[in-house]
Amino acid sequence: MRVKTLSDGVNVHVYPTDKFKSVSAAILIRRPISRRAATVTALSPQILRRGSRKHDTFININRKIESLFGATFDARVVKKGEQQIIQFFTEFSKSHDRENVTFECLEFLNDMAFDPLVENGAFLERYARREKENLRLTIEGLVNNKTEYAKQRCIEIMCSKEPFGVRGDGYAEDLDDITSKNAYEYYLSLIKRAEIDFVVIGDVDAEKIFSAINGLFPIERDGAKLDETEVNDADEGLTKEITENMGLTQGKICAGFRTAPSDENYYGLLVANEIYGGQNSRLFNVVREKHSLCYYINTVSYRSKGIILLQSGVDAGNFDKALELSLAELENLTKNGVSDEELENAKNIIDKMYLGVKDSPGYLMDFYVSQFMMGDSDGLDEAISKIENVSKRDAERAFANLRLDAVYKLS
Amino acid sequence: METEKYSAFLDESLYINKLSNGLTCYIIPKRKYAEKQAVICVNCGSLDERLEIGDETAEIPDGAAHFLEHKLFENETNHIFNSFMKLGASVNAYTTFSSTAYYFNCFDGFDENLRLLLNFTSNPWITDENVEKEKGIICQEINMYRDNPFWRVYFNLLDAMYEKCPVRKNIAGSVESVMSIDKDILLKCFKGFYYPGNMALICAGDFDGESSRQSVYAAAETLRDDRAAGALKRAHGLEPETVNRVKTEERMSVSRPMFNIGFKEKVTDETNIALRIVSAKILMDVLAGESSDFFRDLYEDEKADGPFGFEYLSGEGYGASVLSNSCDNPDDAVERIINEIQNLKLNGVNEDRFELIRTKHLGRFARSFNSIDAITNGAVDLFSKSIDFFNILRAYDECSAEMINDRLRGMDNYSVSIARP
Repeated sequence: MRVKTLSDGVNVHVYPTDKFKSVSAAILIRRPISRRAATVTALSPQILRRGSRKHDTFININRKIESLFGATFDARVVKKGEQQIIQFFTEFSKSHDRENVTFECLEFLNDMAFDPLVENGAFLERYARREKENLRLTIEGLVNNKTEYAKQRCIEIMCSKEPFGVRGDGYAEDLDDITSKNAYEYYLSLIKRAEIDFVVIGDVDAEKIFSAINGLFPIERDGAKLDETEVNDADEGLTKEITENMGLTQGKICAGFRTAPSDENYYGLLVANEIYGGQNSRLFNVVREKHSLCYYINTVSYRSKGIILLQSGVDAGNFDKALELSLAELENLTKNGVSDEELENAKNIIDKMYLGVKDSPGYLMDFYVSQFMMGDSDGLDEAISKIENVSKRDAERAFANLRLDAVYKLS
Repeated sequence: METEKYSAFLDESLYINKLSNGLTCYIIPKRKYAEKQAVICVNCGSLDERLEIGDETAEIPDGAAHFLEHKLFENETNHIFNSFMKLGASVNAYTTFSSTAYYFNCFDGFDENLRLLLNFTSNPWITDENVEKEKGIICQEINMYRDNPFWRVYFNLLDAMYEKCPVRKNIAGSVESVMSIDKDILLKCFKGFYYPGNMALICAGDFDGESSRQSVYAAAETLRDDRAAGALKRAHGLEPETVNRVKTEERMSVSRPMFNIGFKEKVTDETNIALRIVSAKILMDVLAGESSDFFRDLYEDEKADGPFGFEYLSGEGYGASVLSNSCDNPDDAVERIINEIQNLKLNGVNEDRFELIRTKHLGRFARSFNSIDAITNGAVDLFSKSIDFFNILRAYDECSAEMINDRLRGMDNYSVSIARP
């Protein structure tokens, strides 16, 4: 990955490779997530994707990208760790006219992000109104995906006093106070202050991309910082438990564990997570294969918070049994440690996952965005060698530090 | 004998080799890719309701193909996951209407992993005890889907469109049908469907040169063709042309009404399936894609919460175009879709717009070759339809605005499925 800084907080990242049939490009506008600004931040890309000054309607946008040999375009908000990211993304085919198409796509993306359709110092009223309504539907629609809903609720209960507990899509009750004018003003100040990254992956010349983006990027930065500092790591040292009823056929359970918040043993935690709740894990073999309680049970680790979430779908009548078995297995791992074979298998799986990243433009983008967000300059090969160096002690240390913080049950 | 198909447009090759044991091998080389994948694909899915071996006929309970997929993952000593894990590979499987596919991904040791794949998919270890144990797991899988409103609206639609064709039933069966499955029926299914002539091996990855392909063929030749081949018949002839029910509704725990509208087609044996797939995708995009005036109006009037989901469901004897969305009043949205179809029927599809959409889909088809998973998933689906990527590519060349107009004229039979809060 080649990186060039355009100005303070604005970077261009280019990963040249001729392996893929496409070029992927993204603009990321990143800010620390905060309860106060979450909703207006989430709303911004929805309004912006409706039209820019040059491409002012859905139809014009789509006809533009269709004419670029079926390029794709999307703008949305994602929450990653404790950051909220507005992401503009395009992917287009390599073609005989490669350089021109690449430039045209970058120009298009830049227009969509930084040259919005404005009237009287505000976003277009019609777009803002419709997109506020749409965001409200998205927020309310979380409940349609029970697994995702259970996960979100568990994180909220666990991190109620931390930015990590703030919803990436924002809150319906904030929408009434947002107008086309204050949303536009907020966005203008955001792009002067937020971290901005351009990422390009594909068959391109890095120097040409640097100079093209340097010529395109129109924003005068004002050097100020975003003024958000909220309480961090409000670990209350107790286990919270909440049960809700929705009349489901299959109950969902989500349990959150905290570990030491430091990043120092990140790779140890990754290996421990794989052993406990990965592909062929303790949980899979005990809760599913031995006790036939579920179809899926797995854990996911969140690097920026040192958190592990366990998720499973089980009959509500078996909630306690599934949880007891899971906790007993964790205790077993803490007391008796892991076997050589388990350690090697888990490291092997993670190694392969990293190797697989190299075969996919989407995974490459995701990996490098995580890395620069964490301020980690390691590439894939460095990450792989760090996994290979994880010792039994590192994994066991990660287990010893895990503490159950919240349990959410949905039935 | 091995044949190579090459497309300069895609800059991809496909090697096809039908081996002496009857197995069809497909190899798609991806230069510079670190990962390799192999899939064993069996023409055995939820559409298979009956099995005839010689004079014997067996009725297959719903969900048996999927149950068998689960059971092949166990052998005498352990779960197959462990064996692949020891070789540094990951393994998984899925069952569709028409096929069961078992696959592994690896970075090195491909040959050894391939032997393991061929071995475990041809040596079932099924006992009364392990069948009973699996029922709890599968019932949880069925219940997981029951709580997914998108899935339920879709299967309610299939049930409304089709009266006889088994495509209307859940792939995993029902809790009741799964409870009725036993060791004998699973072994019968295995015997009837899992023989090389009814299977394909699909490999994608950096297969550098002929020798690596030859070693794939050599390993695959070891599959013995000593099973009694079933005279497999899928009973489709009886499906009426009209839909079973025009409308189906169910209350679910959703935030907004969701709807699917499915246009059922009359499918004859002569219909070119690749052309059906390609033209249906283009048609739906022309009709209600994000660049259409129709979609813009619908979105502005709040009759569509976002872009439509488009799916073309197709197989031997059935075909349907399905559009999905959500909004406050699905009945209004459906009425406007039907009116727009009438409108297009009258005025015909705009040639320029057709060409733009055709090129867009062709570009996306080409880009799907970025992903090994997308390549093998596509190949599995196409094998069950007895075609390959090159038929799809040709269909993009052959497809015309006139064909789209032709298909529009047949869009009279539809069902609507709605989920209401």
